[in-house]
Amino acid sequence: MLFPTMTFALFFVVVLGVSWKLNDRPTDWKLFVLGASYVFYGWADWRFCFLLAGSTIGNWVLAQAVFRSRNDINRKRWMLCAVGLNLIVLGFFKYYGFFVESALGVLEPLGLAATPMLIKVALPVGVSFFTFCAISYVVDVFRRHHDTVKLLDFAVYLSFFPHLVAGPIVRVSEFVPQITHRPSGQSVDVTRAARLICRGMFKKVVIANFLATAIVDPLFVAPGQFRNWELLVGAWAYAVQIYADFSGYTDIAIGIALLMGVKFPDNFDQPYSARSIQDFWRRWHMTLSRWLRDYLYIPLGGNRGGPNAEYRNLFLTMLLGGLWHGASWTFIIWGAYHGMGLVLERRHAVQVEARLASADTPELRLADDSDESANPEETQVMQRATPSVVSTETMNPWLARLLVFHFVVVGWIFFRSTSVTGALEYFWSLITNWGVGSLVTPLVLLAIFVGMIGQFIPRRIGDALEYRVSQLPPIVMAVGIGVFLLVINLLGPQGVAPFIYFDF
Amino acid sequence: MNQPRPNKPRSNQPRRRTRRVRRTQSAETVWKGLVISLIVFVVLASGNMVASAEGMPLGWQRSVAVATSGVIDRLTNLVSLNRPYDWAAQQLGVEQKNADFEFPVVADADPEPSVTTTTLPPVRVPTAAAPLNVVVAGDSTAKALGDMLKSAVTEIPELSITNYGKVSTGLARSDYFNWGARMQEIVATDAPEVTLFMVGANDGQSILEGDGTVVAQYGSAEWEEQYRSRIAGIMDLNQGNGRRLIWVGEPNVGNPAIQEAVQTGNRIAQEEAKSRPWVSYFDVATLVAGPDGGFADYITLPDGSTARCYAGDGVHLSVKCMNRVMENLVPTLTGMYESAGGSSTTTTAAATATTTTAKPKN
Repeated sequence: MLFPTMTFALFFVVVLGVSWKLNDRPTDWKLFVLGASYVFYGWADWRFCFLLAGSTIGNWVLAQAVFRSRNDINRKRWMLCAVGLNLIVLGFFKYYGFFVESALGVLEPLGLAATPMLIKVALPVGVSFFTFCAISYVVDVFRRHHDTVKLLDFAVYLSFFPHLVAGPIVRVSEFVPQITHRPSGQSVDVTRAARLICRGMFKKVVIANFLATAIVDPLFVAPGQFRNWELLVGAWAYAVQIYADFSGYTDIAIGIALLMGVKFPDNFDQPYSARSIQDFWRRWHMTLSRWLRDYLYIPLGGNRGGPNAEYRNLFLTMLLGGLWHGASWTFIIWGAYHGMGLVLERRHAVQVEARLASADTPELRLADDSDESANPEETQVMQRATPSVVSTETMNPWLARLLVFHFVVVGWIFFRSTSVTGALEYFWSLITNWGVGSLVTPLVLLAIFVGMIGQFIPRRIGDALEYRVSQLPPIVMAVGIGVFLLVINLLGPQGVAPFIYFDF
Repeated sequence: MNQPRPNKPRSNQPRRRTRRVRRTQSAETVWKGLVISLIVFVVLASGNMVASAEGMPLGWQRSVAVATSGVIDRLTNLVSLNRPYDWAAQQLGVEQKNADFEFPVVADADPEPSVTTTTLPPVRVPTAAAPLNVVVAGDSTAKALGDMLKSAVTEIPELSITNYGKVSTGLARSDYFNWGARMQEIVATDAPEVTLFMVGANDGQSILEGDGTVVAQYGSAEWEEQYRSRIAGIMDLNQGNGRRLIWVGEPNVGNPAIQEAVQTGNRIAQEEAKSRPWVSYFDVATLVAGPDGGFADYITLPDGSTARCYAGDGVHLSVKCMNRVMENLVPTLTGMYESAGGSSTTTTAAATATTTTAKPKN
């Protein structure tokens, strides 16, 4: 079930009404929301509900085993068992075809006949999102960040439909308290929710869908046949499209959850206004970045063990983050590219820090991620305090933004291309196929401009507008939202394209 | 006279800005607001709702949606509430009304078509300045084919490719998209010299007219008869002015339910092409078949390498397999005029002349 459809709208009207009716009976509320989430998930293919249920029960049982083990060795064994099983499930559904094909590519030139079991594996929607949520729960129990939760609470956490298929990746400690102690039904932050939903719909239906059909999709099928002006604008367009698509989805998800009395963490914070690559990753898919940091980078050793170990861990984290996006060499290259960028930037930052220190200036502190036991809130504060050394100290902020944006855009070309050859063809055509072409229209440029300008509008302007809207009588607000959705429906291309991140 | 007010002592503290708190609403008000928003949306865009409902897959959900939206549309029509939306949609070119086009009913194909001799004007020998006007039309597989074909002929300036492929379309659901009407329009406006048409992967469902009337349930004997009429209709629309139609068969697909419809469509297209000299059939399924001639996610290419042949959905071809199709399709196209210097007379003896199952090029 896709958010921007009438089917979902009718589904949500029923769910929202019943959900608040059951608000004072938490167990009934949880059972109802669990049922609704499985209907939502099974709408396209009910068989995947069994996978979700299996993942729920399996991870809950293993987390119980971790929690009840009397010694640390057994705790670790159960935790590794849970993580391993999750990775096997994820690997089977996401990477089976990729590894078989890659193995064949290696064996065949060597003349080694291989007859692998070539079966087709359908990718269940959202499998990597709920698997990551499950891993974070088991690992947090292992780290004693929190106790185990009831099976019903865990089942609702994993399947809660607003975040089930494409995030944000929420932690148990953020979610379960909100469903255990339900908020009052007398003060729903409807203006914030409406702002998020309307903004998300506009980004997805108007900006992302238009750019996809008008320029991005044709370009990436056969980049060799297009001119370099089209390819350059097309690369910008894809950067805006993927941002509008994914952040639009999470805006809607956060807004819907808010209407149901559940607060999700932010997932995007004007990422294209970032002044360094590190800054970009603090603003893009923030809950995934946080997950990778806490459950991959830190277990790999973080910045303990000296600069070289830190660079290696940083690179490996980004490489695996790339692989998480899909079974393709293009994603691996994309991850490695960002990993290299972060390593080089970090090295430069260390050099600048040393230079400043030797010049007897106040010491600049780099992010200290060595503390495994740091709780998330502390870590977030710690990260916010980290200076963007490279850009702010050595470069004009707008030049830094421009450079970082284009660094990211180059990465997106690998990310979007269907093959490495396709990506190389894109770059080659970009520097050789001189000309203007016909795909770049004023409307395409306008859509890119609108998508980009949102990155630089100060938050207070949106907040002020939100405040004014909140003062309107509810009936006026409701009619206004209906008309706004109508305008979005008019401006967007026909049909509902799936969200890009449904594939990940 | 008022006494001047004594100046208030200025505080050294910075002035604190009052944080404005957003007004919240009760859950009940929020729910009512949501319902009102939806009613506003549905009432003002009732025509759009009807079109969306008609485009849904057949089943009870579609029946309920069509009936409900139909009632709402009739009511809003009475008071003209939907006029502003319809007007705006028309101005923006959003609304795609299905032009009426009814496919003629044809009889079942003669299993032994008679040998006919038909005189066709030769395919024009194109030049770079006046390239051959090739139009690709059909569903999403056609769209991908058209995009790849454009890429494959960049070095052949004698071929000009226009791609009219449209996702989620086929011949079964004229209520959603009427390819008959669209093909009529394309022939009239673009005057293609060669048309490539490819559909079938979305046609494993009942056949509907433009107004939503179900004319044949999927799986019934009438279905095949009606589907044959539509295939024949597309072929006949491309007759005349020396135009050639290459009916591109769909590849085998991984989903058994879709595969049945695809195989039926391919078979009917081959049968109908036999009696139409301007039509040839290009067999993609054979080019990308597995060892048993059916669907295989992985195939062995002529160079001995193994390639995954399909995208994740098991319907659309991967770039590697699409390249394999291009290796055979491009010579078919160029062969039309390279050999044309002459062949103005085509003797159609069933499968030999018009149904040219592509011989895989190794």
